[in-house]
Amino acid sequence: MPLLMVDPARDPLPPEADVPVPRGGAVTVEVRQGQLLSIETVVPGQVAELFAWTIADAGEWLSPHHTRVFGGTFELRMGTRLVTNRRRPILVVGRDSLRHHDLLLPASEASVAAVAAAVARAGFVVPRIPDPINLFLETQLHPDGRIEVRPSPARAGDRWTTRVLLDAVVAVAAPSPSLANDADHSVVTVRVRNEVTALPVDLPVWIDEGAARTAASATAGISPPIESAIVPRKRHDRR
Amino acid sequence: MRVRSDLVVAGGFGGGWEAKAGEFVTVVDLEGEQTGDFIAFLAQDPEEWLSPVHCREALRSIFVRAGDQLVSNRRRPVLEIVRDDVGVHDATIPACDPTRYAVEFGVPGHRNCLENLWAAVRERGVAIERMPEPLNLFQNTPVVGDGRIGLTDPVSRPGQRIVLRALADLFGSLSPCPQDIIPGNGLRPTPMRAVVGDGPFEG
Repeated sequence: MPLLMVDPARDPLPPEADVPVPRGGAVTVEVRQGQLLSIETVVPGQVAELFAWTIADAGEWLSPHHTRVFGGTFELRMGTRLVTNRRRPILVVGRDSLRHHDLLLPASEASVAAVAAAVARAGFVVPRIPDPINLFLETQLHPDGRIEVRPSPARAGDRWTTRVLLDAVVAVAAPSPSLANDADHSVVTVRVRNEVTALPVDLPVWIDEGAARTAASATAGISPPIESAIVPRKRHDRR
Repeated sequence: MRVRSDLVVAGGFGGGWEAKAGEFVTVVDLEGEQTGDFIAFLAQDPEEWLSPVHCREALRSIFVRAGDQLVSNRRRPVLEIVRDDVGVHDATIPACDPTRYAVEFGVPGHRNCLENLWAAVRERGVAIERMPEPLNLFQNTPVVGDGRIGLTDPVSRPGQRIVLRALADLFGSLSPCPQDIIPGNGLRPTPMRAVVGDGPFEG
């Protein structure tokens, strides 16, 4: 259902979609304001790179750099408003089973080429392949500025879900560790939904056991403030 | 030292520069506490530019320091930091642009780094959609608790400088940032000097 507006007169949302992303490849989907966009891993350890351009103007794109400044943080979290290079929110993070992503690193050359090809295949013309939102990529930013890149903790089925605020063309690349393009092997799924109840149930939020242990020993008996603690979720009927 | 160009850029405005491979670009913070947004393109192909995003990957850090080789969006070294009086620079904050002021501060029509930087390179055929992320000289952006971006002023003092050696033929621009609403330039944009020559500028 569309966003709960005072004036509900609006066209129905476009159809829902499930788009598999092959290993080493990229896909595009169109999304409309009010829809839900989910990116989901199919295999453990998989990362995904997200790009978007507004339908109204391909010169306005999703920017990790402007997103950091807009939110005043180097990190991508629940509730983060992802904004364009013109500082307008385009996607907002509403659910996230992994909660480890990256807003700092560039896309690989192979991903940029895959996205350019996917965008062209879909008939879109964009002035630039911008820098990506690196989903499921775990980087630890240390106080001295050091970026520590860790193996992705993603499980099969980890899902990151946003509400769409600007009509957009979205591209998702699924980098292959070997740089090999394996069109027969889908490693990421892009889901577009009109109802949150139409999504599968999220995995329990991933907890970094090593970090939790470190925090616990550091605070010696004081219960550690684990941001990712599981919170009760509002119940809703599933059909 | 043979000087190719010597430019004083007013605070909040922009200016262009060019350097041949092996030449030195010296940027002086004349009055101190001033951020200078800095971009560079390869003269042979302006589709290749100095990329702080790729520098972060290559250096595995959001900060740069003396001795670092700074890379392009094609992951090739294009500049090397040969002298750095300050040691505090930013490689993460995008240039302030019209929407920074209009949307986030409610001030349309403010001078901004994006247009300053672009005005100095557009004659070379650079489209505004193809402008790179800037390296923000002297900008002070610490990582504070819980991964947040610290907002504070540069620690640079009058006359302090950074010297970059060009590793290819380059052109680019410099914008002493016009931000006068929040910390970043001590709430007072001031001029910077950019000198290109066959050695570091000592004057």
